[in-house]
Amino acid sequence: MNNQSIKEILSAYRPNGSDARDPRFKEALEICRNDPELLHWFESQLGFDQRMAAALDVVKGPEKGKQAILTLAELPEEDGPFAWWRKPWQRLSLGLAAALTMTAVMIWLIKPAPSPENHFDAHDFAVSDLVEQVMPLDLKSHDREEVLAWLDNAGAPVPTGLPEAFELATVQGCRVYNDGKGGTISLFCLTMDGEFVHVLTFDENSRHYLTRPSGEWWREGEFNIIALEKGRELVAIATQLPTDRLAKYL
Amino acid sequence: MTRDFFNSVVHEWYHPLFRFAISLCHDQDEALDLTQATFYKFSSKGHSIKDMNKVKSWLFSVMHREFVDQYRKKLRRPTTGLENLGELASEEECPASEKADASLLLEILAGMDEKYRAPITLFYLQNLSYKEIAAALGVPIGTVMSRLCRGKEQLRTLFESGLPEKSQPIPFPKEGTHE
Repeated sequence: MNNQSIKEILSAYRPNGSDARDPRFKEALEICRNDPELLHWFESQLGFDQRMAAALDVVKGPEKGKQAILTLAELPEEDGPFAWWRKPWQRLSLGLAAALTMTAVMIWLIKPAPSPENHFDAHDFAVSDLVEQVMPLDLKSHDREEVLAWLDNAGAPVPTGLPEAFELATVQGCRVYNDGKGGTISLFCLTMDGEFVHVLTFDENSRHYLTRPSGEWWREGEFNIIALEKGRELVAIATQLPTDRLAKYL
Repeated sequence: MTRDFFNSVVHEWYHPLFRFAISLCHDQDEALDLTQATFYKFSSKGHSIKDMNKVKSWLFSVMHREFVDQYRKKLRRPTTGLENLGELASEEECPASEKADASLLLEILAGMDEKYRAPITLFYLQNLSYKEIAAALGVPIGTVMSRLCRGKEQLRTLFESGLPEKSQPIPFPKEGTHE
């Protein structure tokens, strides 16, 4: 590690000592301890950081704003067991809630099916075709867990072996494609570095559509695509990012 | 979600979230709106958070997304200065020098590129690790570290050029704190 990379690592070390046990800092701290110039820089930086943290701590939100949140947030009241019975509008709400709950249960029991527009041409398969027609998404959500659970519930393949950097990408949603013959491909839509990054996961009945070897980049239209195989999981990652920009995350 | 749980989250995270909001918006009213919008989303969607240890990251991530989606476009002209810092801690709680530091810090942050401002503010809140900052902002860990390094260099140069009194260094952490 050179001095610049050590400074870069240690710039993330919080002055309150919360990161003392994080192994990422261990080697940098060890080198710093034995280098007078780095040591001076680091001690000086910690002093400045502590001053800035104390300065920021001075700022407080207005109390009236906090009270408004606490007062106006719509949450269930914690009354006694029969208090709701005394309020007619709450009885009506309860009835409506019961009806909605039953409907929600029925929807939950019925697996979500991709629309007919989610068919793809089995005879002339191209990753770029699936990516170009990705909108509208079947599920639009920034919640990673919700999206992956939706795919699982839809019977679509769920990507589980993605590189760590993908865990930090912004989730946009998902879509499911099928070939009408039992083959299913899921599309997990992310954004990284300001561009869409589409992760297509192939199940056992659709993996034959992807004929490129794992680790090889190719181009279809505007998209750079790479196939990755990890165990039995086969994915294709398609993006308009330059290959070197995405490659550093793989 | 119970009322007690919601209230406890508000009590714990209202001020840190407001600090983040004001660094993003540079305006108290917009910052308050953004903070309230974040808690509103928490009241309606927070039940989906399965791991309660992730509430903190969820809140800051939602606030940042909300800012990018809704507030960035309609920012008024930035206003800075002590009168726009929300309610500062009282005289008994902190000396005037810290209030002056706060004013200068927010003024400098307001002039910085947003890609540095957001991670620097989250870092100085000290509630989030670099990993949590990366998750909240939706950027790789390496990017967070590089932006913290460059952003803090810039911040320090601007800050110390405006003050007669420099920060005091803090002694290096003692050996034996790592496994």
